[in-house]
Amino acid sequence: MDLRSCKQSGFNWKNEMGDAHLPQRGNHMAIFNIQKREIECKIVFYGPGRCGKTTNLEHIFKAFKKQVTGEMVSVDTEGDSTLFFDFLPMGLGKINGCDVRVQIFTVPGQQKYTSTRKLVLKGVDGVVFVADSLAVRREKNLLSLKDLQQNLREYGQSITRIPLVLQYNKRDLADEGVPIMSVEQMERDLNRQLKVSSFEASATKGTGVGKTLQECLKQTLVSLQKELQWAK
Amino acid sequence: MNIKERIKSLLKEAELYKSQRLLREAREKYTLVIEILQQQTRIQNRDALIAAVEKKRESLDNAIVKWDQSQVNPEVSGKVQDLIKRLFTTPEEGGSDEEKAINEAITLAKFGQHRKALEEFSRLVHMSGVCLSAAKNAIKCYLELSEADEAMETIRGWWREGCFTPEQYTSITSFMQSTFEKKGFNWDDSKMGTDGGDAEEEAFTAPIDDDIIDITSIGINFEDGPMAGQHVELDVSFQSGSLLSLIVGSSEQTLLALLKKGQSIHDVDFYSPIAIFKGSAVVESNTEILSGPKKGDFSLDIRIDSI
Repeated sequence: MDLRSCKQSGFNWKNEMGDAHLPQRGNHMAIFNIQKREIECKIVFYGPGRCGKTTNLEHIFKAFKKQVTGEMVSVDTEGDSTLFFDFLPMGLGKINGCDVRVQIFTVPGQQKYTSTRKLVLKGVDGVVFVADSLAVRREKNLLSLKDLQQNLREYGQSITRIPLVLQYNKRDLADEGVPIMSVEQMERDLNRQLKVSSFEASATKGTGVGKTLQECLKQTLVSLQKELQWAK
Repeated sequence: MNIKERIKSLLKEAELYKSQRLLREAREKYTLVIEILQQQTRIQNRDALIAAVEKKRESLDNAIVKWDQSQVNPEVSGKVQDLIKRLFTTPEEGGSDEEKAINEAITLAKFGQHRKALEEFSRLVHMSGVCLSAAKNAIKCYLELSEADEAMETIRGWWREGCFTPEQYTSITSFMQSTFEKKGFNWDDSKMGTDGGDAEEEAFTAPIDDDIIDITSIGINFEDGPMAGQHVELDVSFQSGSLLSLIVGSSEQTLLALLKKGQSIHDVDFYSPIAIFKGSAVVESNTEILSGPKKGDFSLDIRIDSI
């Protein structure tokens, strides 16, 4: 899967040159440098503890080696739970003459890491919310989505306006005989009002991971384009 | 599903949750298995089965306790700390190396890397452009580590080394007192002393620090006096709750004369990333910077009075 196909979103730098100006920063972290023709944006994988955020990143690291521009860094506990964050830098190459770079982060999902989550989320441009399909984690999904909404609000951002994609992870566990929620139920729980794109996935097997990221990147770049036009 | 199949299914579920590190969920399933077994009298080796599942549950209990007691923000390796600084410190246009360094140290403190942050503040406190910021953030770090006595001792030590002007020291001890009291630490005025500085009482009630959002710059609207009708904008170099630190160039003599210590400023625009707030403030200190790249300029501390 070629992530650079997100250029089809219509992201277009033509007729937006004007004079060179300083990198722009607003509520988003995204850095635009017209002079150097560079864009750098931030994607965060959010979700409750043990839902598969890090596993998503690990798969992205292995599957998209061409686009990965550095090492994946994981700051985790002895039990392999994310402690502070995971980080993966990627480059999407030139899109309409501009170098597009992406910094992908995951947050620690467990409740006690509230303040760390908020710090890592700061300056986010696009979010992938990873939900756990296990029935026993239903409430955690809801609490985590609410947590995301509150943290975004504190940064002056709205969960209804930020580029956001939902991923329903661990769909493969249905074969293991453990209770998992139907996609319909997860849509009702998490997406009834948001109405954003959602994808079924199994991060351990890699299915749905690329599609999720591609859609999030597409939405993020379109949003950044609109913001730049609006700012002008 | 008969009892045997039900138990097998629950155990399988528990094992799967355990493999996913969903310890509490796994424990619930083991508890359910034990309850079912306890109600059965005809199962062969019932007691041995219960003991085996109880042992599994006990192991989970130990793991859960260990997890619950684990630190939220343990100190991590130097390599990770450098990464934290690089990834989470917002670069400021035109900022000096000192300002960059202090922002990086503050980032470390925000991620709970208090020891490393203290090392950096201890170095930066000797640089006049950022000494106030370094001292105040060091106090916060010590209190996060529950080391109030060390905080006082360190600040006194820096004062003896000549890191602060008397006015700066007064500002620091005032800040330290309010922070101690807010965090519930005992404050003993006699331990600090000012050795020549003037302790000035606050004549107003300032907003509680936790309520103040990040202010990036301020705009002062002068209604009367030599600068009547003018609007002056100043960048905030450092913020600690309701206390904002600003740098004013030495060429701004008229402005500096109007912003003397104790002066009230009635019409202030506070610029934050999300909105502009109107309010008032008081100048807490106005100190000439004696060394470093900003030598000759003035460091002002203003406290937000209302917003």
